[in-house]
This record gives sequence, C-alpha cells and structure tokens, in this order.
Amino acid sequence: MKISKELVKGSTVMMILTLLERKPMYGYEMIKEIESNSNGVFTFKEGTLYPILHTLEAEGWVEAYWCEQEGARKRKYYRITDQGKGHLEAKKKEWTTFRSALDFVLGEGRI
Amino acid sequence: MISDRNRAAIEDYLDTVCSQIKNKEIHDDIRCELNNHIDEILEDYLAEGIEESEAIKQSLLHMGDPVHLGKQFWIAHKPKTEWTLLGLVTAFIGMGLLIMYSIGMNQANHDAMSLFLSKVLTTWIGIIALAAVFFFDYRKLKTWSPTLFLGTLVIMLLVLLMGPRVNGIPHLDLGFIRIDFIHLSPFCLIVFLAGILLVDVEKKSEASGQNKLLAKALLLLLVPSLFYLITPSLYSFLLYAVGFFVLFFTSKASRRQIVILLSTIFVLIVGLFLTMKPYQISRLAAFLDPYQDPQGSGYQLVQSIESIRSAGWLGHGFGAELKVLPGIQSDFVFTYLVYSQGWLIGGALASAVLFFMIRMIRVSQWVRDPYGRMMINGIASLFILCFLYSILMTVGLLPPANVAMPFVSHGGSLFLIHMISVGLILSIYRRKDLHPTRLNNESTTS
Repeated sequence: MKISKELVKGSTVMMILTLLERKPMYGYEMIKEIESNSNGVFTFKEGTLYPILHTLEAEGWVEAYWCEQEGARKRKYYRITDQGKGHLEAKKKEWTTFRSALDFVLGEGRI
Repeated sequence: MISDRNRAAIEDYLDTVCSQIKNKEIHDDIRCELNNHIDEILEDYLAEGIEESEAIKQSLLHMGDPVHLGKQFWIAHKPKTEWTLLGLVTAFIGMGLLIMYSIGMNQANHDAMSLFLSKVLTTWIGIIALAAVFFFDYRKLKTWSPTLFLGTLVIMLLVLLMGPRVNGIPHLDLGFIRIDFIHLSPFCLIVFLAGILLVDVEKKSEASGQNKLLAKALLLLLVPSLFYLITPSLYSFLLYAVGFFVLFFTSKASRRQIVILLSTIFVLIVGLFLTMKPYQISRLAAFLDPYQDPQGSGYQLVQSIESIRSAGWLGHGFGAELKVLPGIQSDFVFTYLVYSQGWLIGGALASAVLFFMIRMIRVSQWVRDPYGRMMINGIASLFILCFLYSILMTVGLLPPANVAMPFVSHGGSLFLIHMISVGLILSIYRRKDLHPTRLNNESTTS
C-alpha cells in the first residue's frame, strides 16, 4: 500500500533516531534497515535521507564523523547524542498518545 | 571498475546537487557522502548481474531528483541569524539612547543634546561595523592571530611610552581623536588569543610540547598583564586575566597547566595589592565601608547607593537631574537609569542582562567549530564581567572602576569594540552548520 507523504515525513526523524540509538550507522545501512524493518512500506527516494541527517546534526541530535577502516571504503557515520536521545523519548511519548487516541476514535480501542 | 563515461554520469548528478548549495565549503563533504551511497547501490546492482550503464541509471533514480535534493541540502545548511542576541543588543542600545536623552534634557547649556547626538552617531558607526563583521568569515582571523596579537601589544607599548594622558590613563592619539586603547585592548587580545591557543592545542601531542605550551601561555598571560599593571588599569587587567583563564580552560588544557596558570594569576593579584598606590588603597577602603568617609573617598559609592535607594519603583521621572554623582553617562549609567526610571525598569534591564549572558553561553554550546566556540567563550566572559561589574559596582558590591556598561554607556571606541565583538559572535553562529565533517578514526561499535 502506498503511504501518504505527510505521514512518512512526520515519522522519518523518529525512525532514524531509533535506528541510531542501537548503533552508529552510515546512510546506506540505515536505508537497508528501514526497508527490511518496515516490510518495504517506507520506500522514499534515498537521497532525501541525507538532508534530513544534516538537519538533525544542526539540531545537535546526531553527530557525524568520517571513518576510514582498512579494507573498507571511507564512510560517514552518524551517532545519536544525549540531546537526540531526549528528543526521541519525547517524540515517542507524543506518538503513543496520538496513536491510542486515534485508535480510540476509530473504535479499535473499545472492547 | 566503472568506465569513465559512466563515472561522468555520477559526477553530473553530483554537480547538479551542488549547484543548488550556495556554500561551496561543504560541497566536497556532500559529494563524497552521496557518492558513497551511489557506489553501494551500484555494487548491489552489479552483483545481481545488471549491465553497468543500466545499473548506474537505476542507482541515480533511487537517489531521487538532484535539484530537489540540492535544495533540501541548502535548507539544512543555510546561514542562520541569532536574533535573540541581536534583539537584546538593540534593546540595550535603545536604553542607552533614552538615558543619554534624559541626561541631556536638563543640561542648560548650548550643547544640551550633544550626549544624545553623539550616541546616535556612534550607534550608526557601530551598526555598520557589526554588519561588516557579521558577513566576514571569522576563520580568516585564525592564521593572522599571532600577528594581530603582537600588533596589539606593540600599539599598547607605544601608547604607554608616548601616549598623551587623559585622567591619568595614556591614550592613543590619532590626531583627530584620542582613544583609550588600553581600556579596549582586552577585547582585541582575547579574540586573537583564541586563534593562538587553538593552534597550540591542535599541535600538542608529544610531552615536550606540553611544557612549551605552558611556557608560551605564561608569556601570553604575563606580558599584557605587565602592561596593565604599569598603566595602571586594574579593571583591564581583571578582564584580561578572566578572559585568558576562560580561554585556556576551554582549550582542554591539562589540570597541571590550569593549576600553574591560576596560581600565576593569584601571584599577580597579590603583587598588585603590594604595589597599590595610596589613592587606590583609599578607594578600596572606601569600597569596604563607604560610609566611613561619605564626603571623601566614599563619596561616589554613597551617592550611587543613595540615588538608587531614593528611586522607588517608578523613579524620579524621565529627564530627572542627578547632579551629585559624576560619570552618570559612563561608569554610573545604571545608577542614573534606576534613579530616573525606577526599580522596575532597572530590574528589567538587569533581567535582560542576565538573559544576554545565558544566551551567549547557550550559543557557544551550539557551535561545533572549536575555534568559533573558543572565541565566543572568550568574548562572552568579557561581556559577562563588564555587565556584572557595571551593575554590581553601583550598589557597592564591587569597588568603583572605570567601567562602561556595554552598549548602554556613552563612549565611542569602546562601544565600537563591543559591537564588533557581538558581530563576531553572530558571524560564528551564522556559520555554525557550514563546517565539513571531521575525520574520526575511532572504531564504531557494530
């Protein structure tokens, strides 16, 4: 099913921060993870991930660094900051409230 | 290996993305990052056995429209303006203009409005200077820092040796204007010092470098201090010592170095007390108990405290006369403000000052460039000290000194230096998101 753009837009930040909370990642890794975790529901243009990451960096929620390991190509990794963790926590709470309220209105919360 | 023709298709794509991003400094960073991603997709396609040129076409399709992408990047990296600091500075200047007008209202001579008009003129010059610094890339100062620092010291020395004295303080005589250069030099020195200390810290790796760094730091502390102590300009010395310490502390110096430096500053202060001139000692004594000699050495303080006390919540009104206290347009501008406008407005200004201080500290935390952050820390510490001193002095909590409240007090060259300093902070904030990412070889947990 195709998901409307607005819905995806609101939740990408949450998804990215959740991924980075597990471990530092580079862009391609994130795309793969999101695709496999969402059963292919979230298939946005991959390039758009990067401006979002750069914005998160400017907000201070993630940190970026280039990592050069032997035998592997030079990659730009992102890791979540403490500030980012706090923001994610707040976002998650907001999402749970929103979801349960919506479920209730739609009737799925009633027994 | 990918053929040159197909490589060119990727380069074209990256060129289109970058053409949308006006700041060229981050182009390389973004190119490299996107190129990586494209290479990764490409490898997957090639592994599936898809023909090369088709694989590249598919990969680029995956990435999305390059123009749209570039625009998104530009939004993320657009220069930003710190409106809060700018707004507060505007409020301070506005307050200063009002006060100058108020003081001028009851000067019954021919140049009744001269205070106000000269404040208007310096405001305009200050705005131009601030704007110029705002658009100037502060990082260009870095390589010039040692030269500029030395240049400032040379001017200080020349002023000390042959500058004409005004109120006992040697001034820089430019022919058409006399500038109290010693008084404004801490701001220059601290700004240039940020560049010097940063280069040292970046270079320090071997243990012998540590001692060299310490020796150099001591020299950088002692030479200007000596100049201030023979001027004598104790307040400038205080500014420089505090600014120096904040800079050195935030440059990630080792604990041993900080201890040595702090004890040096302490020794300097003790030396200062021992070499104090009689009038300075009586000033200090007057500060400890101004009511002991309310007509003599305690006069200023007693008058200031009494004026503030008499103001009440609403003050004596706009244009109120305060004849008994000299220096109400400069050192005791806060006293006059409270005297004429009352405790409410005085409290409002004090709150704005507090907000300004907190905001500068926040801004420095948002800046990731170590050089920029150091510079803001240095400038912020000087501003905080100037503001605190100019307020606390008027209520008798600090000994009277030749202090101007930044942006509010009357005075041309000092105001200009303060405007340039704020311009630097805004220039640093403006470019905070424009830095290429650093290389970091620490292993990732995966």
